[in-house]
Amino acid sequence: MTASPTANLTTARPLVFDIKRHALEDGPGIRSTVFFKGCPLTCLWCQNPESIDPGPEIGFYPRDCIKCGDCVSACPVSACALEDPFLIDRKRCTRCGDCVEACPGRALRLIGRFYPVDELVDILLRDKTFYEVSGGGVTFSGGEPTVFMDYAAAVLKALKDSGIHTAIQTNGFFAWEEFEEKILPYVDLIMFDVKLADADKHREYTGQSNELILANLKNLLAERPAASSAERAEAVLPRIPLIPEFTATVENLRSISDLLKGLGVKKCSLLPYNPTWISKAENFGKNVDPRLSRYLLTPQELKKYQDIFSWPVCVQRTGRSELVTF
Amino acid sequence: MELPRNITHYMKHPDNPADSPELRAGKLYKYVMENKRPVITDENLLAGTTTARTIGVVLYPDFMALSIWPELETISRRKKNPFGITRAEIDELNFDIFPYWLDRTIQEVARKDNGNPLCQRIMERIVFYIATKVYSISHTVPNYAMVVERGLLDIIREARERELSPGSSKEDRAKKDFYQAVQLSLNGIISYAANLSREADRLAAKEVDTKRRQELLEMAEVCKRVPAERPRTFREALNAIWICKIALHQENANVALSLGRLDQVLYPFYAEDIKRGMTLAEAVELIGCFWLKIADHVPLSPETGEELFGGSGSNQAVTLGGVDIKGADAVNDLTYVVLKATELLRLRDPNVNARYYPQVSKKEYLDRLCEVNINTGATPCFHNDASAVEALSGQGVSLEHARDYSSVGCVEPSSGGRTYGHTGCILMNLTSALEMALWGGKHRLTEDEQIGPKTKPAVAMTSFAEFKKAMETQLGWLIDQVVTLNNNLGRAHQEIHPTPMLSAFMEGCMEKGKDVISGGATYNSSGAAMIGLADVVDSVTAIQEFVFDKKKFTMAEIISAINADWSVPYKKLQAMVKASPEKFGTDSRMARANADWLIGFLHDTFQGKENYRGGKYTVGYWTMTNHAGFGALTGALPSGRMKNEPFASGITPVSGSAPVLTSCLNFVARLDHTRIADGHALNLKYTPSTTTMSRFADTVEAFFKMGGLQVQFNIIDRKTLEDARKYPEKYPDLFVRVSGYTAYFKDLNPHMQQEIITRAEYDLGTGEEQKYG
Amino acid sequence: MFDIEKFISGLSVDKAMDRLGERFLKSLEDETAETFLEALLAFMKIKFMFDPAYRKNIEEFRGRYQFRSKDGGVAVLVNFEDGDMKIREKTSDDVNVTVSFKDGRALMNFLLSANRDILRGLLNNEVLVAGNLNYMYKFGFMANHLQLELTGNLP
Repeated sequence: MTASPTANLTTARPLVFDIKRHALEDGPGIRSTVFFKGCPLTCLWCQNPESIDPGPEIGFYPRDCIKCGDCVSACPVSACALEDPFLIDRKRCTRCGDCVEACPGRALRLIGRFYPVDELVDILLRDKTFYEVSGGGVTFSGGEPTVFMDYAAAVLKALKDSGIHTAIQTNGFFAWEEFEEKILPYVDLIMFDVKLADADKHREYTGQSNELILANLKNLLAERPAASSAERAEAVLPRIPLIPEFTATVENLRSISDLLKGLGVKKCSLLPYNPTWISKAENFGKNVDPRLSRYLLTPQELKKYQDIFSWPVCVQRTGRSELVTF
Repeated sequence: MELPRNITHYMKHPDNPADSPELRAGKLYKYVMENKRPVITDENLLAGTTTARTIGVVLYPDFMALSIWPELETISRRKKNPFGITRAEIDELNFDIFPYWLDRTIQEVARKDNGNPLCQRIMERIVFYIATKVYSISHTVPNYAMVVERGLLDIIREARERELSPGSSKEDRAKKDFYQAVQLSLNGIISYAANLSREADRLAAKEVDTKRRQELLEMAEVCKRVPAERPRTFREALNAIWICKIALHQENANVALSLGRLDQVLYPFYAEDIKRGMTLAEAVELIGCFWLKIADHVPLSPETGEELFGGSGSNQAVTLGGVDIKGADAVNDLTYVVLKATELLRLRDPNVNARYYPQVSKKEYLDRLCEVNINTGATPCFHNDASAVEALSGQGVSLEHARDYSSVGCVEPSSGGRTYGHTGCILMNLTSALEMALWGGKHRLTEDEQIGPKTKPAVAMTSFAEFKKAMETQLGWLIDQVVTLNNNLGRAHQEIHPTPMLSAFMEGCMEKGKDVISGGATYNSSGAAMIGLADVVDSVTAIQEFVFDKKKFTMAEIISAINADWSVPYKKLQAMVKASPEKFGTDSRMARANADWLIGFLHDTFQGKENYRGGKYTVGYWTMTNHAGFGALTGALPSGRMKNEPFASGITPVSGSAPVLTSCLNFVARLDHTRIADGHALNLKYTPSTTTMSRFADTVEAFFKMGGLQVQFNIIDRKTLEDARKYPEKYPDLFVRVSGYTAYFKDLNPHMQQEIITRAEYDLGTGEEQKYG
Repeated sequence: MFDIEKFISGLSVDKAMDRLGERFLKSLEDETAETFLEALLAFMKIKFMFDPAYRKNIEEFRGRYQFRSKDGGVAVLVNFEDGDMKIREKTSDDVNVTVSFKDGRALMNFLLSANRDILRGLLNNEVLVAGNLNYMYKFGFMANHLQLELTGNLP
């Protein structure tokens, strides 16, 4: 068995940064989506940059702030200032959480919480009836849920025992054997991100090569005794984020299309670019690559990209799970 | 004007006070119906009008018409819902009509009979409760099946036979008076129909338009036959029901006099006519004519009433779909025709209620209901048969009768045509009990007066149990008062206002020989609606969490805070309370336990009371516009709510405190609906969207499968509503769901408009509440 | 108490009515409307005496009204009987209706629809009516009529 590619991350306790109930875009039907914190990739265009770091962070929700100033006096490193529209100087902040404790309302919240397996399962089962009537279920997303194989497996197994449809959204950067053993038996649908066909570019933009990812995709689609090819095709949905100038190039999409075709994929999903995250990230002094577009894709562009794929492609809306700040 | 003039004239002159109340009423309504002017309005296929105008106000001098007396000379110029009245009409009311009733209205007779009792004086302090019998007995479903299956002559014949049966005991004589009253008043209705028929003939003779002439001639034929005889066609059946409904509106103010299961009652006539070649368009047109007709009269209330509680229609509920008495799917083609008419006309009345039985009703029916809701923005509302049948069965209604329930008024399930359940006879403000528990039986609005029993002032309490005990004491006292008042008023009705026509159309009365008001119906209950549930649960929970569990602050601090309307220096406290996830409509166990306790206590206490007809009291959670009206009068609450803000409506969570749609539906669905036998209104707002139509149906289905009783939606966003508030002229027909029924947005009082704008709005795409502000 | 006789002595009927009407209107403009009740009653009385059209309101009418201020400073008993109106400074329980009010302005706010602020009246617990409300409604009509007539606003 190869060492886990995310071993450095898994030493952390699995934190969840959001549980989105009544999610409609993370798989079929009405779903609950669990967003894990921590990701081995560092995509330039990551819409939830707060999900990359596995540790807890502090979120500021200005509309709930009554400007009482309790956070200012509570902060041991003087990182909070009411005059700052974003309240917290992130460079100084040590994420100790004292300000969250001090806040009388919910203007400051700890992003990233550990749930014991039973508690998480309990929350997810609350909407069982909604899953049943709509053909929905539970989706694991992130960050990267496969960072926490044992934990994810325990929750997924409990959900399957309760007859819940399960899905996972993954970047594909995981150790195959472990995934096959712990996760695969308990997921009904795998939404698998395919970003770039070129290995070098992949490394440049996401921080990792795509070799492991593509190998994992091949493995997933390869013949396995338990599943018919139709079932496999149903169970794996490749998703391609359309990032202008990065992934949304004719060249890249053609390569991906050929690749997927070669693997016998029958259906995939395109995720149109949503630029709203940029201003948010900039406000926090994040370095946003100047090449990243600030515009939505035009319908013509979308059509052009869609046409590259010769099988049914579903275009998804994106832009969920937006935190106000991180 | 016609009705008060005729009633007053009759009572002043021909009336014989030596007759029994029943007989007096029978003769009175015979006179009223015989002397009712037959009016046929243009462009409607149905004959007859409630008032002598195409659309008019009905004044009931025996009820509350006198309350507009002070405003008679200003009412034509007031801003909200003005009412055109001539000088001569003012003089007639002021000099001739109103003075006769000074000591003869229900309200004053009840007061006098009971020595101006405390319970009635408490009502006049406005903020505690309202007992609606001062306005009428209504909130029920007459048995229109009887009208179309038998015709009035057959009912008269039965009453005659029973009257002539042997027996001369006191009881027998009372019964005979009742049977006579039924015959008299029904004959009055038949006379009115004959007058309509003659009027139609007269108009036809001078009509030049051939199409309209033909319509008028047909109308004359229709009214010659119905409602005396059994109708033969769909149109006759509709006109028969309409004429009887007009009659019932002479007898009682239309406060939610509901239509019942029209798609069931009318289906045989519809099916026959379709076989004979009636087109769907013709059927839709007839239903449309009927819809326009039933909104031909408007209530009139004085300015105070308008300001606090105005904007209500008559809340005439019609019920569609669901299961039949055997439990099989009862949705038929007419159900869809009625839905189509509703979709096309987008009218405030009737309040369309759709029944749905998970697993029995078809999914495409639910999808169609959702589609109509999206297209109209506000109607129909959804009832869960499984839960409603269970709730009624718990009240002693037989299974078959429970399955035949229809919605009354806003949302109240009632086995139609056989239940006199006056489902809206009591409207009680729960927050007034909360206030009295906080201040040892005093209320901020009535200041130093000791209103309720003296309980320990909250500042001296040392446990949450003690606080709950005080709440129970105050609630129990309030319930005693309001039940006493309703019973007093019921007896005043028995004394001076029996209702022979309503009784003729009510199963049970004929067998028992008793008027509805004396317990003639098969089932007898009284319904009490509670206002401010979520606000009280959130307040009680805040006290439990912060004062007793976490001890974050003291009761004295929270009381100072609400006395200061959460102003500085209490902003932090308010933020803490508001930020707490322990709220009605969330996953909070604490809030759920408190909701269960409160609902349980109210149900048990009301059920322990008997009404003046030997029936039981049931409890519901729907609020019409009263949550806004009572809210406007109520100070800040421990929940973090500010002074004068509207309460949450019906059984709906407080806006902004139930952020997750599925949690909200889950919370309400799991409340014990057998203790909510008078129905509830869960009012939600969905952001309009075309992509989530099928998910809409899924949320309704899931809510019902979890046990939810009723839910209703406005499909509209805040921007539109805010624009409509600013520019009412741009939105003359915008109609919204208030709490149980629908109303035109422009007619609503400002408090109510504000409540609808701030009301919890969920984006179906995300399932998240769209916060206000 | 206000002495009507003295106020109008020596005046013609028309003049007396004018003066009492002016006095009534003026009482409405006063900040506290302290004299509202007595000005209203005085004007009402003279109207009943000399205006047959207005008197029609109380022909064949019997009604006893108690007005009193909450602080006990004012207690007036008004008795209508067969076209006659009697005003006495007195308390009695034998009345059709009792009106207790915080001050003149509160009473005015309650009685006159043109000067009304409903919420304020209710929120401040300003007026309390005990007894037969229909009698109050009738009185309300008669009071409003006077104001509308004086200001030329009758329909």
